[in-house]
Amino acid sequence: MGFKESLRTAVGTLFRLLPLSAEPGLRVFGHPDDRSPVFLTANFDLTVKRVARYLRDLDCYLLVAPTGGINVWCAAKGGNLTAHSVISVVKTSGISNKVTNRTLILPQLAAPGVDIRLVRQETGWRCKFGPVYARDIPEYAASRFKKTDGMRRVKWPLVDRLDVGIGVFFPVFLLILVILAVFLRAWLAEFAVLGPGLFLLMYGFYPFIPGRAGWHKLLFLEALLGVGLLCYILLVADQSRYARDLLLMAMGLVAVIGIDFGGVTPFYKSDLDPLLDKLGLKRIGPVDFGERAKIIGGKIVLNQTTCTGCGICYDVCPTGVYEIEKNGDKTAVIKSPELCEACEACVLQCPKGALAFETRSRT
Amino acid sequence: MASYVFMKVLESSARRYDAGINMLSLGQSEEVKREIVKNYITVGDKVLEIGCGTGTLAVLCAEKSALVTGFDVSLGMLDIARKKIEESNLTDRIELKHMGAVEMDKAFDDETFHKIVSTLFLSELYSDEQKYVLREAYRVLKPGGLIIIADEIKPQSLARRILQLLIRIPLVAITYILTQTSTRPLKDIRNLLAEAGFEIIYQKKSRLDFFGLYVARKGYPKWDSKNPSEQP
Repeated sequence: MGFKESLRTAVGTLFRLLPLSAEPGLRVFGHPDDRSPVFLTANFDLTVKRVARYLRDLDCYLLVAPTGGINVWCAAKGGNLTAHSVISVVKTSGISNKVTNRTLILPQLAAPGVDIRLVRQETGWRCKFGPVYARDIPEYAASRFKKTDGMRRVKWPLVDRLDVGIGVFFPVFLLILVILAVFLRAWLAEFAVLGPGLFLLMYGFYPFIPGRAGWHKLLFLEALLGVGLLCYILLVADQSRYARDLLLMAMGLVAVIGIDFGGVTPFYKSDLDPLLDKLGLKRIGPVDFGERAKIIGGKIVLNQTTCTGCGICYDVCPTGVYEIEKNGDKTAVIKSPELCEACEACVLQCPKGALAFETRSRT
Repeated sequence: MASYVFMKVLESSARRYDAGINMLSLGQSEEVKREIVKNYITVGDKVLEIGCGTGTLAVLCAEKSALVTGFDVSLGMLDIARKKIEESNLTDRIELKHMGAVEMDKAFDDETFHKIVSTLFLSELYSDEQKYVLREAYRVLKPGGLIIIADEIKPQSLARRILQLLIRIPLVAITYILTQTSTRPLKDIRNLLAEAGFEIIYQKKSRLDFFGLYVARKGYPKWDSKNPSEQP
């Protein structure tokens, strides 16, 4: 990898919240023929690089769809990866002249955004949803494009926690660092150590911090530090202001690092949207917190009479909410509603419109 | 024209777009449109505008008694264009369509238009889309017809390219944060036009070579003795 690409990877990782575009279009891997598989991904630079790493040993095509330099899941939820981005890259890449098959393998997490019926109507291409993670693609291809449940589920391993965490934390860290460097030199060193330290602890030990939702974990940590501070004030004889301030700083940092401790994970709902909504901040630009808060607070409901048991909801759900009951009339069953994180993939993909979010009416 | 990146910001508030873009481009946007109409649009022309935005150029063309079809992917922009057209009493000469550039294949018949115009639009597309749009433009243009493109371009001299980069970086950052989109100056529009089959007949660069106006022609089909079916 050249210097420029390494630099782009570093920038993409540290400033993950900002888009970083790769050129949309067709990429060729190995020596594909007219029957080779066609995969699709978003044009976030890091995404394209990672997918390319796992396609290296296959003979296949990859369509990089224009999603404004945003990753698959965010782009799908945010309206940047839609049927239109797929149609655009299918038409302009000339892929239809290169292969005779008409099956496009989308990442599963594209399901909240891409209306696959519209893609088919406009281009003649049938879309199916492949694995969530690109690293499963070689196995998926080897097993003749059969997806296991493991490939359907989002995970939150240490390396992902640190990777995503850095992108969320680093810009804030940098900002505070600059502010301190200008106005409060005295605390600069402490902050420079405490910030990354707490970040590593919080994201490293994420699954082991008590609490089910993100903000439970955050509250637990704050309470822990609060108790620590209280004990120090009450019990330690020879008190220094320095230690107290340090503890206070840690409390502040925990809040900053964990500001959306649920939303950063792939399996908790964001706590930030409902919070902002409650605070009266209904929308910033195109982001409608009020609407999102309603969906997050809502509950997925299934109309059993229109459901045909086609299984698309089961296929696209990243957390395993659904079961398909096989005896008698095949229908989907909402088996584990508590796992639902309101991504709405199933709602968009259900061909019968049998799924909806019942939003609580707010008083 | 580096300030063009601001356009994406302005687009989200389509209403302020016209005043904003004209100010930021130091009058260039307005100026080049007038130049296009003055020099290349003639009475009775059937004109296609690719990416018509708020319809400024479409109105100017129609005022010169051309019949204009314009399309844009932004509904907000089209709403303003519609109002502008009604105010100028040009509704019978301008047709607006809400569509993206890649839908051109289904929307227009072969050899329909005398002129195709497009300002500050191609640089919003990625390179495959640019090729696609120019190919489609070639198809829908009548033989002998002209395509006129004005857009942000990459200067050839290294010093100017660096200057452009320096001016653009802060603007791109702001645009990224606010709208999560960006644009890139066209690298080799001459090549793209040639690849699509056009013959460039005029070009003009301005504003430190950050901005270019290109006029290209679709030739008349040549008699091909080996393949007579191609004769119209």
